[in-house]
Amino acid sequence: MQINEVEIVDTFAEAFKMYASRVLVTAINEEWAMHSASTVAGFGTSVIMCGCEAGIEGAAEDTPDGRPGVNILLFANSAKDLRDQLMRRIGQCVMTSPTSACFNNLLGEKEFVVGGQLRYFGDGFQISKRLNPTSEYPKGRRFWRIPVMGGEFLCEETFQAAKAVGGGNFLIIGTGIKPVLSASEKAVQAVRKVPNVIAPFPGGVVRSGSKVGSRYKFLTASTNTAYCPMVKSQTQSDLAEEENCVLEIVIDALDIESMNKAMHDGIHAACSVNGVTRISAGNYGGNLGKFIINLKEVV
Amino acid sequence: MLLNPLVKTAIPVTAPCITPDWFSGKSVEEVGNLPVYYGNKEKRLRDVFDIKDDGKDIITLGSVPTVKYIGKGMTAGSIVIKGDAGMHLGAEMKGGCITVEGNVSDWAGAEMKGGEIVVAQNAGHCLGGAYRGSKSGMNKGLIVVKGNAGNEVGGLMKKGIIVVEGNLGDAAGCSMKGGTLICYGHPGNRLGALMQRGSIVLYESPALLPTFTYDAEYNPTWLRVFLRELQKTPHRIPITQNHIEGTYRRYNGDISELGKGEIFVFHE
Repeated sequence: MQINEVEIVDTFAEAFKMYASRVLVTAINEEWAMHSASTVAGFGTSVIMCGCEAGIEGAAEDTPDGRPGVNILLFANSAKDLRDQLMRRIGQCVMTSPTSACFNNLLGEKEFVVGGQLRYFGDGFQISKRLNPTSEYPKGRRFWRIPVMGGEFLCEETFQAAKAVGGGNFLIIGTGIKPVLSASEKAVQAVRKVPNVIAPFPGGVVRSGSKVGSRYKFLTASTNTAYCPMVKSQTQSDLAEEENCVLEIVIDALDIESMNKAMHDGIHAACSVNGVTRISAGNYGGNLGKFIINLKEVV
Repeated sequence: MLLNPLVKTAIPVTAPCITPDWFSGKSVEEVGNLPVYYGNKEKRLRDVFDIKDDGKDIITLGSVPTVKYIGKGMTAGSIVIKGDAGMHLGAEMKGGCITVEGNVSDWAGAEMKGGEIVVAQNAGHCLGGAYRGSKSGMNKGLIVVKGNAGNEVGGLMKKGIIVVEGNLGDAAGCSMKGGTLICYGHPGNRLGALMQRGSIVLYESPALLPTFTYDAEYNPTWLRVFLRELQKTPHRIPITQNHIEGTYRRYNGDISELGKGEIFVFHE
């Protein structure tokens, strides 16, 4: 199968069940909301070393306080991990950011206390306010007002987590870094237009894809040698002679439909660049992930 | 169900059975057989009201200024009163909505735990308050009064929101333990006396007790959230963009008590 003479390899991406939360950060203007949101999403590329995968989903249209807001999606392996990350990230990145406030913006099956723990920073001067119950929030949304030097920090008591899909991916293979990077940028642009989706790596792109295992006993994963052009002759390479660069787009999504749409749009965008030879995907033989995303089906 | 009073009387009628919960699934005959007190005499609802089934789920009453405990403890449904309502309207209610097109007497929404009461004209004393000896008054729910309200509005209130678009009587928010009281008119004397927690929001300058101390002037984010939520209700509360984006002067008190209450006075 080909798109614009770019081969779509007959393989599949393997995605995993994760838990996701959507955090809405508001502030006095878009700039300060983005300052806070980008810090929350910082160092959130992979659950392996960062604790969660995080990315900015986009600007929020209608926020509870009517101020500019930014939605952040965070993904982790369990709701407990997510709670831990939200505590750290909201406490250190939103509470510290001038004029910011923080709201839950996703209804899910798991609920955990975040603002209700951060409140102790108020040293006894924190104040709780609760809205009346609604169908979405049968107990009523409860907020904590924590006095801070810049005024007061408003944070929702509980956040929710929903089951989600993480680790969707495709590899862009080409003749050199320029066309492959250009194709990656176009792919990420397309992916980020899809709602409920993030590409958590820097600029949405990964250059250091990994394989399971290593020759070193203390490492569980190491560089994906089959796709490293530098060692093509020394390994069992999956690259052709003219293929000199591979970049990966990793996608997390709130549901499999959004994941498929993001994969579709991203692959089509990547295939529009000259110099891209193939689109492939990373998997573990289909043994580890709950979701199999067949490239030929998705495009 | 339509209920029209058969006689105009000054004798109080105690009718806690007038709730959607009691009426649900009953015929006109069965509803008419429900017990009420006419003064100190036990009677049936049909002795006091002309009852008609209009095929609607809403209970509609004519002006009933001496009928007490309408909607007491109700959990769902709607009651519309096409005139004035008596004491204890919606007391201890847990859900549903009561709309009064005239005035309502004292103790409306006393110790309510949910639902909404909307009064088109004035409300009496102890609106959303606690009965004598009780630990707390209104605990969740929304009360909107388009006119003025009497004394001790929101006394011992714990949660929920009371909005009075007119003036407040004396001792509004006295001994408040939580919740939010918003007043667009003139607040009476001894506002927030003995309040422990809770928030009072004012749009006219009050004469504050000396046990309230000034903290700061700022735009509170929580109030933005609350006002925007109230804007979404169909009650046409006069919230302007200025109220949402403007600054408020925060006073803390009552320091003769726990002192974690607050009064916000709209500044600009």
